Amino acid sequence: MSEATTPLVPAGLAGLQGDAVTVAAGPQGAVITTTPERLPEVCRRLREQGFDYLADFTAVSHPEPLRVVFRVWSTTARQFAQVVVPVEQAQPVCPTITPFWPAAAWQEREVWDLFGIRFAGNLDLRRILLPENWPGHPLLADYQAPDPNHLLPTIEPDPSNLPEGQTLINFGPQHPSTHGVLRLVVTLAGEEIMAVDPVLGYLHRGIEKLAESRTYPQVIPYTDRLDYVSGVLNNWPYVLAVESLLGVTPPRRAELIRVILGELARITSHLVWLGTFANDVGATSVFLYCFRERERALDLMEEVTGARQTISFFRIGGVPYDLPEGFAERTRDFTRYLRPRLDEYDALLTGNRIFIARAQGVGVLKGADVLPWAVSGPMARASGVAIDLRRSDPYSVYPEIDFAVALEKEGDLLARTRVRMTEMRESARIIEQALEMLEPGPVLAKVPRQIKPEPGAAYGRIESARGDYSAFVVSDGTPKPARVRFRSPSFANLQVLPMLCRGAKVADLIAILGGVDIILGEVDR
Amino acid sequence: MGVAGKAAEIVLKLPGGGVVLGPVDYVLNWARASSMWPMGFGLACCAIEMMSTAASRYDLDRLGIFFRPSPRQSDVMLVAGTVTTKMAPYVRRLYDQMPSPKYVVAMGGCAISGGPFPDSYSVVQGVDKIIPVDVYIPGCPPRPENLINGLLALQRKIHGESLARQGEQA
Amino acid sequence: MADFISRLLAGQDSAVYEPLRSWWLAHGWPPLVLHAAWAVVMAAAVTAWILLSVLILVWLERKVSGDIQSRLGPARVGGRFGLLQTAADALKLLLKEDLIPAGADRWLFVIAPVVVFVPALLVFVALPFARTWVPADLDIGVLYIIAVSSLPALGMVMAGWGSNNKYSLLGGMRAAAQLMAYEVPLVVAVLSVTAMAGSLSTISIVEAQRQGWFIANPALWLPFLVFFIAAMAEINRTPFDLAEAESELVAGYHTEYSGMRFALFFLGEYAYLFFVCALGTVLFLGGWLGPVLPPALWFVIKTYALILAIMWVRWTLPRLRIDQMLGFGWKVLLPASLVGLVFAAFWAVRGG
Repeated sequence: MSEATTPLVPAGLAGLQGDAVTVAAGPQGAVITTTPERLPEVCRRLREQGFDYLADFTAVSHPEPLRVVFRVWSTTARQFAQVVVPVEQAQPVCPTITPFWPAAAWQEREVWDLFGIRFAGNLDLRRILLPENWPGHPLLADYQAPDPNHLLPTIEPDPSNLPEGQTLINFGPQHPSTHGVLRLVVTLAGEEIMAVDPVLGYLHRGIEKLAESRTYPQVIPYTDRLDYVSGVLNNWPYVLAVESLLGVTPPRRAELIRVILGELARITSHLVWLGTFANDVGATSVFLYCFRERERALDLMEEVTGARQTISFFRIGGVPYDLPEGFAERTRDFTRYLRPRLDEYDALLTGNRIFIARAQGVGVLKGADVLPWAVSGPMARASGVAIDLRRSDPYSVYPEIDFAVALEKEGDLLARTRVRMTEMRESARIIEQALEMLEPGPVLAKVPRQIKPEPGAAYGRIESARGDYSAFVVSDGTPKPARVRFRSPSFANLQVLPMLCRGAKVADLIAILGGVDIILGEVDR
Repeated sequence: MGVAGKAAEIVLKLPGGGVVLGPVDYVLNWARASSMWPMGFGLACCAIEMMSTAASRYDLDRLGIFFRPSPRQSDVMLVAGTVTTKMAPYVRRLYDQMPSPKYVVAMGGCAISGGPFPDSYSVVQGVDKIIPVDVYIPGCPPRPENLINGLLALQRKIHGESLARQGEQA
Repeated sequence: MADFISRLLAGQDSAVYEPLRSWWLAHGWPPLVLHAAWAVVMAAAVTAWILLSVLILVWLERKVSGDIQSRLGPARVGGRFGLLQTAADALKLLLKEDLIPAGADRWLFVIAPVVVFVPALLVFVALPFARTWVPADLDIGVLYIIAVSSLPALGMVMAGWGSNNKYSLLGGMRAAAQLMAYEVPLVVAVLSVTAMAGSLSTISIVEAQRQGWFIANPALWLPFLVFFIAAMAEINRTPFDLAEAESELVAGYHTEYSGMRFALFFLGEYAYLFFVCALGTVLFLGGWLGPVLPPALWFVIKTYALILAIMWVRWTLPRLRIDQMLGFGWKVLLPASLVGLVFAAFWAVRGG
């Protein structure tokens, strides 16, 4: 998120300016406003100019007009371009952008589901978060909600029009394994998987809509409930976005504390992943060892913030209070304790023949598929795409900290395991460096008592444990945000699950799903 | 347990019947309370704290609790997390699949009454709108100690049951 | 009296049966009635022993797993060590509602757990705890044991079919395929031992180890390894427990079972654990042979050593996928067992 310099409009895009299309320079990249008719042409030009990654795709209904807003990123030039497409209020239609960025498929489904905007040309425009028989589109400004306590009739998948020799089976939504409430409708031919259709929305709590009726600081606790194993990493993109809107920079000590807690959160998130993944593959004891280490990290979090899991510690402008006495030594004890443990788990898992047989060559994601499908985080780095937003789109004090970007080439489950283990080790290094860099100082910037940013919109983007996690906040001059959008890495990464599973065996399905590392809180919001 | 219940009621009416029924009740309740097998119904954030409680530091296995994957083999439904309108029918179906005697524990604010989502269009305001709940454990999420406290409260509740008063708790 | 007890414990000659028999025949009563009554006594003794062992083994598994996972395991029910935990579990299961799913094949559903559990009791007919502590000294003891221990596979398929759940059926068939795949290497490994001992009678096999346990003989190392691995697969333990873990993803063959029927599956798994370790003790570890201590105690000690080893493996290794498991069984373990058989036979013929 580059707010230090105001980027000019890239030369290749300036040529788009004309009637019906305006190109302006915004604080976070070029902003292109276009009509739906000119949209494909704009997209084509953006692709030609190297904008290969769809960073976010959503719609905004208030303040008027109803518009589709998406942001693309050029991974080579490290530039953003935001595209705004106002659509009509009644019967809104917009052409699909999936021919240019396939990752838009599910995002368009979500916008259809929540806003009622049809995407002409999207081959699979079904609701994705709410049930098919849900009345209306909730994120529109004048939505009347039905009574949530009444039970809708359930919709079951229909096996009648399957080809010969194929059966339909259903995983979930209740899983004994710890993946949360996800339903997979799987088409099988014998033991081999033909197709997987994830059904989402069993944990859709309407957080984005709720955020519109809360004040800016009141939204922060809701962010914790998104990616609920990552604690403070959830607060970060949102406070970054609001700080952009306010023009506030947190003090240096606050940034370092954010980095320390953020990396601790990354470690705990990866430990949960490692434990649950090992449990899926059968090594139950590793699950318990990982939770044991996690308890020590949670003790540190609890010392600072008072809470173990849903922490809500970051504030707009910094952090609310300073680190306690002796925190630095205890944290260093923890990182010293963690390293040999990680080596032990490496031996137990990645050095174990059976684990390798279960993980090698399974669920391969090819490197060429990463950017078009907007896959980010360890999934992308395991397939050889070296994008880590702490380096590629730096924020906070990461430019001053020395750490390696974990990278593997094979793109299978084994590579993903290695990437996450390396990330844990690197996080430990980052924490140690940040502790060295701490100096006395304030921890919260001067922020007005009532937070009421000028009308505008801003993105806040971080590298969370799962990937590219960004928040988009639209303000209308009131104390409550007009729109808060969370772009979650799990939602984007889950989109490639059908691709990963094609041709795999049923027994691998849960392992592959585990390897994607999703948290339903942030998938469903 | 219909036959046993009726037999117990008859025994209770006999002189000194309570003396016979008391120890029998005690042993049966002891068995049920000491061997609670939850179907871990982890829906959201509370599921992670539930997993932490089952893990090594807090260790629910000490109390005789271990998680079963199938509703047919579990006694307690530990609803951990938010129940959404899309998920609600499945919650009901799973509850119906459990053989009696069965108990429900609502873990966390969302399962008790919708938690921090009171005005959401898709959150059921408490799992007791769908299934009967025995113990409510507040928290967002409840700490592991709190969850253990709640499960011990469920054990006390089970100890208050009697064969002769089926379906009623003392 | 002390003499009687020491003869009883030594197990060298039948301290109970012989005097009883002479006393009975001296009265001129029909021997058939005595045999029948004694058979019932033996059956009751075996059943009691198995049920007691199962109670202990379930508790032991939870404690051992707790230990490996740096936690306590049962620690409240029945004292500080949770000794009554399994009793509470069994009693609770007994009190559950009797549930048969709609559309299930009633007869198969009800019989399946019995078919799975009862062979665990039947195999002990030919397994000696001491020289005379065996219900029947069969000349074809090993053959009988192998035959009876194949029955649970049938029970699993019955359970899968009878549940009226297509995923349970798949689970049952996978379990049966796994058991069949590992039955063959197991039998070949056992054959290696019988070649060495020159007899199918379990008592003769143990007696043949008086000069040294079979496990000390290098020709039998490969058969022992094959036996150990195949035994773990036969009792559906990690790394071979996909049939059970299936119930975590789709449905295993026992997903629809609750209450006492489920208890039979659950306890049956531990009864089989005891059985395969007892068989391993008889075949490789010299059965009841050992100095100083009573023979039956040696038997139990050796069996528990194998049990602890199997538990250790379970809680350490991840599990194999079905195709990897079957591939390993047919393509690796079976040839290995045949090679072991050749070596053992060669050794036996050479008279070494």
